[in-house]
Amino acid sequence: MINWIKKLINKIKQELAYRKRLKELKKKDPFIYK
Amino acid sequence: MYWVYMSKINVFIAGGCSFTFGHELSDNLNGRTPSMKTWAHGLYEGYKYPGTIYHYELAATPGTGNPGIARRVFKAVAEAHKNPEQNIEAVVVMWSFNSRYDWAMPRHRNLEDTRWATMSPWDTNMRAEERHNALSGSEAQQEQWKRRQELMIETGVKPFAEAIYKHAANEYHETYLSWKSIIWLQNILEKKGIKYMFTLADNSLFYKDFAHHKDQDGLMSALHDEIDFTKWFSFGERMMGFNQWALMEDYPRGTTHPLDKAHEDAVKLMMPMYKKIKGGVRS
Repeated sequence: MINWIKKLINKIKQELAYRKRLKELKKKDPFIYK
Repeated sequence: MYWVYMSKINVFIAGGCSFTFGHELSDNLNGRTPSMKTWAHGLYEGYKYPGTIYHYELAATPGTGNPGIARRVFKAVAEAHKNPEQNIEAVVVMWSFNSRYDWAMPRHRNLEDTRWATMSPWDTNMRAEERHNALSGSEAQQEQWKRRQELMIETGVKPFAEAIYKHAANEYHETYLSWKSIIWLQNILEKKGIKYMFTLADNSLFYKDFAHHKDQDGLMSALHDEIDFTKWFSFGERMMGFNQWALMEDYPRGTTHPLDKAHEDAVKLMMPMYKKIKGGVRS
């Protein structure tokens, strides 16, 4: 049970880190579909 | 030897991303027509000899990254080099953002040369709100985005882009790939005796805020030492890029690119260095 919760927390943390990283990358890199 | 220039087609090769393709400039129709008002075309037009035939070879593609830029410029150089009627006049490259990847995928008719895919952070899943903001509510842009997304799914690039940015993308590797591409192209041009000038769109190619990427470890420091900065033009301190300079100087902008005036003034700034690299007077 604890393992399952730990895995879920870890997954959420990873997803949040990914979104943060993407947001930073997109800030620098201009949108190209014009 | 002047007769070489007179008797052959002198090819000027320009490599880069949308800043070299000329996105959003006044003659860039629907984002598809390469502009003749870019910094690169300005250098090409500004240094010609009368009675000589010239050709402007644009090896720039919007949205591409540095490995893709190096590959396309190399391809253009190789094609011009094997043509006995052509002489490579000069190569100019504006290096782009580190965060874009270039990958040879399993063959598909809709990929560049049936193989090559460019991936940028924008190719990952986007929330509708984020997309709307990025596209400024333009219907034409939304339509282009939709088309590209369909193509990305069809060619299998989309899930790959998602996976790369989710699990593997990091600044160290991106910088390493960029610098490796720059050194690779630089050494090929040196070996072939082709005159070239490099510049950049953004100094994130070398810096993260104030920290230089070369200071990360010995490998990056050694790679950095291989780059010949005597052939580089930067727009200010700490290798300021064209886009940063245009922003700082408050030049008029489209959605994400500086407009005609910035390119026009960039040519004026770059021309002395370009002339110096070209050798000034021909024998």
